[in-house]
Amino acid sequence: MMPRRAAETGFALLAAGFGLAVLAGALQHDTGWGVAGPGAGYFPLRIGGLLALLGTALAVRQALGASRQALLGAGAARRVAALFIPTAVFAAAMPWLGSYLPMACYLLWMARVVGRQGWGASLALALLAPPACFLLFETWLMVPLAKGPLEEALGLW
Amino acid sequence: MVNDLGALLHGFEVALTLHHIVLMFAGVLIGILVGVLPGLGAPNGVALLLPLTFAMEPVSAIILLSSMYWGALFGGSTTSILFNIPGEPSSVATTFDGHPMARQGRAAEALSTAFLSAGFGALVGVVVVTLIANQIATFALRFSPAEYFAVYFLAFAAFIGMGGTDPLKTAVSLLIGLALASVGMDTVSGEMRLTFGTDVLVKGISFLVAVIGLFGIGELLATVDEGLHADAVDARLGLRDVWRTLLGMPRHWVALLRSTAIGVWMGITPGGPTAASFMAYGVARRVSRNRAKFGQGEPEGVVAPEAADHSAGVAALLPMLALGVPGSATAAVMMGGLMIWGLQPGPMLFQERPDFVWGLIASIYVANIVALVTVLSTIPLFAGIMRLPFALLSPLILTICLTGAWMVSGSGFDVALACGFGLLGYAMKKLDYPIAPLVLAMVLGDKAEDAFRQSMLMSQGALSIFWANALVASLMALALFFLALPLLQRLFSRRIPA
Amino acid sequence: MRRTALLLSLVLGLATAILISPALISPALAQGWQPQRPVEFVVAAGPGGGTDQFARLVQSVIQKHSLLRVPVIVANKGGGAGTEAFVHGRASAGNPHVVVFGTNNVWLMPLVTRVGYALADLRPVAAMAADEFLLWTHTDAPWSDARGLIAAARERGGAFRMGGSQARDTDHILTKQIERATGVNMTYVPFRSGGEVAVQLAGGHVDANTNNPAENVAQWRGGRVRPLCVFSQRRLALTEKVHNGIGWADIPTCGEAGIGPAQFNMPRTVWLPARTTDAQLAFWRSLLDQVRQTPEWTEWLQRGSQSAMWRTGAELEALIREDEAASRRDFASYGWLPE
Repeated sequence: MMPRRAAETGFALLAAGFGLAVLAGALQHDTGWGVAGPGAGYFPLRIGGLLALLGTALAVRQALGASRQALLGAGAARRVAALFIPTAVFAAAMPWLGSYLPMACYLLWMARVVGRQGWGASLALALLAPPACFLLFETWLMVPLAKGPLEEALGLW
Repeated sequence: MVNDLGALLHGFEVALTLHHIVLMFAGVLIGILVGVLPGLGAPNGVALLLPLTFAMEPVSAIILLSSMYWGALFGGSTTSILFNIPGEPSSVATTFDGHPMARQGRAAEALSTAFLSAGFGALVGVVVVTLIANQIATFALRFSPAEYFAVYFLAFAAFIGMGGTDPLKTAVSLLIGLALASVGMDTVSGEMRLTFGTDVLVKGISFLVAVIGLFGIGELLATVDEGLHADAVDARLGLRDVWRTLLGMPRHWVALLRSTAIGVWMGITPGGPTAASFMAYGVARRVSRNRAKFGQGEPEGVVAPEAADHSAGVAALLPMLALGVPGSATAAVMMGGLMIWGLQPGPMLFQERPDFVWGLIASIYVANIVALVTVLSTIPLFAGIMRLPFALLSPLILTICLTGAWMVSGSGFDVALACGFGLLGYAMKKLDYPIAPLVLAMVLGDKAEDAFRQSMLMSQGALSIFWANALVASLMALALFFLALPLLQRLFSRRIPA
Repeated sequence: MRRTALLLSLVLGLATAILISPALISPALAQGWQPQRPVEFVVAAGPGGGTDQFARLVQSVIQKHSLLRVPVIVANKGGGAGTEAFVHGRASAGNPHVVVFGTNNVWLMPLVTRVGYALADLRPVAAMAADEFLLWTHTDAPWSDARGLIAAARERGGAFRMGGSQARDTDHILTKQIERATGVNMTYVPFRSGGEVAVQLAGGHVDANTNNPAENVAQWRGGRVRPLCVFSQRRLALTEKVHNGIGWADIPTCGEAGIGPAQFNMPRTVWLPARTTDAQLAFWRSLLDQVRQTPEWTEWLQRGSQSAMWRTGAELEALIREDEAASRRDFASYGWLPE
């Protein structure tokens, strides 16, 4: 599905782009080597510049030389997406909805729909994990997790 | 010397009371728990236990807290090996060979190798500390920023610069890590760097969040990519494997001794456990006959970082007491505790409160044995977790990863960042970019830069400060030797056939 | 016409009612407000330093004397020289269960760099202690007093090394003030924490530092560093002898020693997020007032040779305003204000 050459070139270009961003950020500081040694931007400027340079070189080399074989089959891509997309949604929901509600939904979805487990195991996981996390982290280890409207309404926080 | 031994015996009398042994067990168990959970670590455990200690005798309090620390060091290795998630920064290097071993069905061997090496490192570390406790203080005082820089440079040089990977890709990985390390406030100028006008980057990019993403999430993505690895980790983890591994440990005696020496050295000097474990791994890979097998499940790749990590952890506690300088975040919280208990860490503590200092040193011996026994007996427990179907285990692990990323500083941005690092780790794995240089650069990059620029301030810009005395010059020479080693080896091996 | 007037008076009346209603309600709450949930103490420093001890000590006193019914969680947010904690304070606007512990860096940091919060995002509750600053040197240094140190620094031009924690923070500011008062140039070398600076001085890698008493006392007792003068109008009150028969009260003031500035200290401050009510502020103020009257608090102050201080309300706000304005003028002359 995705040829290795495109992926290699793309990643190297991304790295080069990151290097350029670092370089731009470094330019807002003193990039010189004064009497008292290098300024705040001295190392970031060179790190960014070198990264942009090496990334470009790598991109050129890969575009010319890397194999065109598939890096990622359709099945593998689907499996990775099925795991990653719900996780990313969970991560995005956490600051707004709190840790617990998205956690239960996420676990239910992953176990029942993605993992094709039975309802019993899926529900047990989804309903038991959040209270277990609450007891372990909040009451016992005293580390607060994210809180949302549900926790607010229940007066848990 | 003789006086010290007498003091140590007295310390054992303090440490071996029932009350203190119970405290050690409690501390070790809590430590294993916070060590196993990514995002939480020994500092959380100390913060949790600190309020309890206000009512205790100082020596009981420090025994509880230090036992918790040893437990956390052990717990951190467990998740590194089983799930490729380093529970503690210092167990990152354990993932390199520990997790491949677990994937080959040798989880029990990997875990017992790790625990036994760690136990060995801790015990040798404490013996060394016992012998030279009084000399440590004066030695660590010789470290100015130039020596700090040389130590960091040495750790880099020992780890980087060889291996089967593409040198261009290694360089890119290293540079990304260095760039990430410089985000946030710059100590020397007080300016905010690379924050691009955002508020979320002001505190810098957390190393823990990066590791959770790169290793934990990235590894799971790579696993489902390969498919059919649902139960690749052998669930059979029995106590018999532990016994067999114990009998096999003497084979690794060279690696054990060398790594422990590196660990003790890095603990006494300000390098710290994380740098020590990377350095020991790098050195082990360079000098090993099985060089090609490193990264694919070589037991020596577990022995080296674990022995170094623990001996450094033990050795780092002494400078904290003798100088009042914490070598790690954990030591810093303990030091705050000392002050609240009414003790003043510093050169006089050894003279004024020998009962406290030697009680602590004796407790390190006992608590590490307690921790080793406890953690070996948890192996069957982890076997239970590993028997869960992958479809239930993987979302649980990801939940713990994201929760851990939240707990690092209670920020939603960090959770998103962990996901981003997960993708980065997955891509790097697929495209054969080594991740370790990035991680090492994030740990040491900004510290090395600070030390370099502080040195330049102190020498008014003269680079000669890096060979101004025997100590810094020999550190720099050793680092340069390590950098040149691959070249030398190539020259050498070409000449032999000719 | 009449209907417009009616409508207008209705709107105005409503607006007035809305505006004064909090004033009507809040006195009732003032007696009653109590934290309902676990309280978070946010420390604007990493673990182990003075600010961290400050927060943890308040926590331990509250716990020991059962001053609160809800648990207290201490969270270190030391990123960006403590600004992480204040940004967290801004994000917690209106939440009275978040209490931020800092120093004068709350109003100094926004002056020197882009920090992601403004002073208006936090409400000052109290300034509870003042940490003193001393001029220290290492034991083997050839000079015997502050005047000798300044003379040596003048001779060596800019090569004299003054260590301190963080750039453009209190140690750096004090170094600048010494330079201005004496006319000498020094090289300021910033480290990460006061503890690091203490060891660098003990090892003789820097020539002097301006550490707080608690940061250097261990090295002084060990005979590796010695104090030259204290930046205060009066000598320290503690009579305890620390090393070789010399104690805190024997240290001359920098005014006596003939170098400036005469007075320099760092208040330890406690803050609530903006948009919390006056009743909530009053609750925390009276709680901290109880804390500072305990023997544990006095003992902690003495152990670190910190001066007692208690500023709240308008008095505290005035202090902050004046110090901010004075610092802004100074920083402008050092070229520290961002463009």
